[in-house]
Amino acid sequence: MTLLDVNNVSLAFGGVQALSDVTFTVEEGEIFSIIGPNGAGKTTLLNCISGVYPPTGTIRMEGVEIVGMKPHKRPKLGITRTFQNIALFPTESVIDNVLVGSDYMLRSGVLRTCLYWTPLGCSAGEARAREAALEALGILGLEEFADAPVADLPYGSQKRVELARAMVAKPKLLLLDEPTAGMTTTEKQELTEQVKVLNADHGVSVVMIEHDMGVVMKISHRIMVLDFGKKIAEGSPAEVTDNPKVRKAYLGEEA
Amino acid sequence: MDSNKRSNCSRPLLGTRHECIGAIGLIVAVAVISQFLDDYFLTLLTTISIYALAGMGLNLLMGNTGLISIAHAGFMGVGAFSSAYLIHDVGLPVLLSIILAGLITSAVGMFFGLPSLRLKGVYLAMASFAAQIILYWAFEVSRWFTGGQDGRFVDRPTILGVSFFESNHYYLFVLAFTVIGAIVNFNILRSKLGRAFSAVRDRAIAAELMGINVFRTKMAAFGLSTFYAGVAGALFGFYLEFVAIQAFTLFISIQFLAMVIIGGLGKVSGSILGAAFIVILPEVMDSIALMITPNAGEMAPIRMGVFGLIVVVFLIYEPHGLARSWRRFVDWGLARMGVNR
Repeated sequence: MTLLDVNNVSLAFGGVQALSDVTFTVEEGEIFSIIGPNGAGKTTLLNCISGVYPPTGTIRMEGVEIVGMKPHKRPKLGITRTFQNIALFPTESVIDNVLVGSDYMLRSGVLRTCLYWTPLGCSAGEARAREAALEALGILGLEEFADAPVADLPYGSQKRVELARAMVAKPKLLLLDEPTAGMTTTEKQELTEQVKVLNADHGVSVVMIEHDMGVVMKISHRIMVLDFGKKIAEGSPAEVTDNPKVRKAYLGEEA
Repeated sequence: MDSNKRSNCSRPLLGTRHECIGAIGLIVAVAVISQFLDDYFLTLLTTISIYALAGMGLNLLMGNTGLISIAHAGFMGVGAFSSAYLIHDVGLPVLLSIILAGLITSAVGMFFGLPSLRLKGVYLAMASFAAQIILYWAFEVSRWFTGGQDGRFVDRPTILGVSFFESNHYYLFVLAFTVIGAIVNFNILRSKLGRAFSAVRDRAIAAELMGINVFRTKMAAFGLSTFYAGVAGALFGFYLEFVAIQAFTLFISIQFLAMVIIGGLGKVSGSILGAAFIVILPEVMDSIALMITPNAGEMAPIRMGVFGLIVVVFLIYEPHGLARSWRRFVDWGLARMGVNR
């Protein structure tokens, strides 16, 4: 079944054509990687899917058109993401950062908050969300840092906090923007495993932008290659590696 | 199950059990002592409690959500005049009037909060400055509502036959509101709403992509913040037994800003300590001035200067506010008592 259907998506910033007519689909249960040289439009494409920019063309999530839909409605549709440059909330603790991910599921407005302990209040939901957050942190090996200020954690751990925040949102589609950037080799291996587990055991489909070809080749089911905002290739890891256009874009070889 | 319970208890209202007991002890002590104070100290204590309530509101907006309002005195005025109007002209019961005054202020606050969707930082400050000017002007011209320059009288409340006319009794009335306000404030900060506030403050775009409705969150911040201000205003009116527009000037609004910054942004304790600081410091300086010269009047200009100086020194040496000093003091005290936190 097709989960995400991206059709003829284009976006220009002034005179710069960041994306032109990009079309692809992501199937349920797939790990779909987007690769390409710097400035190819990979993050822009992810931003279009998550609602930062409104492109032309259509993007459908399980048949629902999401171009023009407010960004904050995406988690409800099952779309969540991580960021290339970590976008955690630096003044908060690790667990509070993670909890923000699942907050869209909590029904607690001003009144429920004021009636915190009463049956109408939000304390029960809070407790459940906290448990789920601790569980996610446990899976990523961060449980002991739950109450630490997130800004005190090293870079690699902060990246994993972002992943935990995305996990508790129970996404169908997880958008990862360079999840292993700045990580050590060991950290990269761990993260690769964790993404695989999320995909295989929890049925989360993944769209991943990644520069580390080792990681990409190891876990991707399919790969799309962007260059100057255009799709130049798509296929299995083996097909993409053999594609002459890809070799040209990456290595400057004559096609 | 046992460990489960503990993990829930690891986040009680005020942190640890000792702190909880300490806070309850403090409230009871203040309530008991207040009954034996003379009018001078009761005035200080009541003003501190009312300012603390308004400060909590402003702190939710500034400290927690990263927005700004230089109109909180104006919002307090809306609450004060609304409750006076609802009680004396409409004839509603006191408690209902206080709540309604809070809600009315909340609606006014959200209206003046609308620019926050487009404006940030100093630009938003200017917009709220305009709100203060508009509100003050509206108080002046709406004589049917505010009495204009003459102000209007309000009676201290009587609820279910219990009179809060005497200042020491009225203090308990105020204290109840301040305590409830503080508890609600804590509850907001440790639940979804509080997380949404700080997420919007820290990174609005990331917050939005995580499913937070930034518009609604900012409106909730303005609504809650000005609800606090409105209730504080109502309590202030009862206390003075006379609501005058001069009590809600720009100067007071700026004093509220100073209050939450000195107290500690984003902390409930900061709102309370800041209120105590801003009320007590001028009194202390007056006493010192009287010791130096019998004619305290000639010290007035110096007083303002010294006040400003102390505030600046504070910001330099304790940028996280009195809340941080208090934290250190409590930790030190607990360590001395050998309590393991």
